[in-house]
Amino acid sequence: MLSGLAKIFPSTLRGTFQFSTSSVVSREWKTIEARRVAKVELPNLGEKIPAGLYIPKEKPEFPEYKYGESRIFKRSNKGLFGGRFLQFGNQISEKSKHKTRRTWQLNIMKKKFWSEALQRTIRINVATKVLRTITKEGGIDNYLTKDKPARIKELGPSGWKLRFRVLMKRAEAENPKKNYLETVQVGDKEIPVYFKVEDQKITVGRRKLLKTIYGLELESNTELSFRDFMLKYRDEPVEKLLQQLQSLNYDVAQITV
Amino acid sequence: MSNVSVAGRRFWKRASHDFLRPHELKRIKTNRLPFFKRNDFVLSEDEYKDFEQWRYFPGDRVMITTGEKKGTVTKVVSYINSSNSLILEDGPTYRTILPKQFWQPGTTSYVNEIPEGVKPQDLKLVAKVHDEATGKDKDVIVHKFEFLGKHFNKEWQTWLPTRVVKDKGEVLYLPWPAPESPLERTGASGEDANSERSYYVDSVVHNQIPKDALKDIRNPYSKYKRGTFEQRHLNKFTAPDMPLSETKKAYLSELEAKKALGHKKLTPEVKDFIGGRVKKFVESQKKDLNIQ
Repeated sequence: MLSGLAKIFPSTLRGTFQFSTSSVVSREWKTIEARRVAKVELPNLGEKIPAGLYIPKEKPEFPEYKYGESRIFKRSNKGLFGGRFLQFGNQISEKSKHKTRRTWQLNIMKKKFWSEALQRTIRINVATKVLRTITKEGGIDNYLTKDKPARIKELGPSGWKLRFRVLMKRAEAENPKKNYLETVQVGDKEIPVYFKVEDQKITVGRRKLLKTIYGLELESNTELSFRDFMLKYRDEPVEKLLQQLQSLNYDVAQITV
Repeated sequence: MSNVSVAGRRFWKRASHDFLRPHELKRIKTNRLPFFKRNDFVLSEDEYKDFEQWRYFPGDRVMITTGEKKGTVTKVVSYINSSNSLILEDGPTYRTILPKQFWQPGTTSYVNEIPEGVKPQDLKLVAKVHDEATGKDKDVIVHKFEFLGKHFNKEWQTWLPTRVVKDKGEVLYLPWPAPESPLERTGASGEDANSERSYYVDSVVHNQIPKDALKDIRNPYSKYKRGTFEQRHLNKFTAPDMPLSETKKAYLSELEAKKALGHKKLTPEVKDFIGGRVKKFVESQKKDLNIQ
């Protein structure tokens, strides 16, 4: 009789006769490994661009994540969910064994982590299981930069992007960017040298060299556009630019040491 | 639901129309000091935009119907957009104080006579009609005229509405005034150039157009022209590489260190040592099994 009632009014009985079959929300490697990123077939250099090919306007900011984005449980793309997804199962009533479908949600929290590499806080949604892993690893930077294949699978697209940011910062700290060759002491100041042409040490960058040439060329040709000018000179070596400056009666001593 | 409350809405409604109550306005008007600002300005959305609204065009001969200059026949000089009125050659003027920055060459005083705008409804059009009795043109004041469609005006090189007078089934066209000097054509070809035929196909096999001229004929900015795939295009598809982690770097350096060691060859001493151990083992085995 009860089973019959439960069939007719399942919702009325849910409160009285219910228990959960406890299930561990486990990591599902299968759903992650099966993901693929669509490959774009590119023509060879010098070939005609095919009609259907879309050429993006910006360069990609991050390296490609091998496993792409998740098509199911898309919330996981925006946080560190540790490769875990929604679980589905039945809720079975105690006496009649009546089954109703249910889900097991993840325990997600919004957390702030201090990143030592980035020198800022990272605010992100994390599963509490991942929170435990992060504390065990000793910080979000260590969690993100571990190399084990399982870790890379569970990072997800947003974790992958954070990993890139952290590793880039670390690489920059190791080898700081230097866009000049050396420095020369002139009086109290240290002046950077950008190029060496024979014995001349040039203290300005390529951009400034081009701008001065453009300014001088404008005097003779007032209708010269900067775009046309750049198309002419962008691939020229520094030696040629210096020759051009000298031919325009420019005092090279202003930019050399 | 709007996020403006009922009280707020009531306030905005009043502010958009007449913010002051009539009795408040009256008190201000009666008590205020002498005022030089003219109040004939219109709101920007009420400004005239079409010829149908202006009715007259600079160059038109008109007669003033009201005011001190009533009855004078003059020419329209220009429009005043801010007050929807027209400036006339010999129209009414008003005396005002001009700050020095507005002085024109020849101005000597701060107090000046300035032409006053006249509304289109205070004017009547003066048209010329050929009188057959005398054989001469005579001026006629048009009581009422209307607009009937549009025509392409060759003198102004644009489409203008057609002014007509309708009377007892007859339609009399009132031409717009011609420009003072003919319009200059800059860079454009003549109006008949599009109907001129200059290309004839003589052969199906050979193209008569020279190869160098094709660039001018075809659209260089056509969306179907996609060009060749160059390095700059390829750059748009190439993502940066993921930098190596510290553990990966350490592992790679370890591998390299192992490689640097290389394969070592066995020295004769080691060979003797290994051979001696093997011999000792074999002999011990023989002893155990009693093999001779």
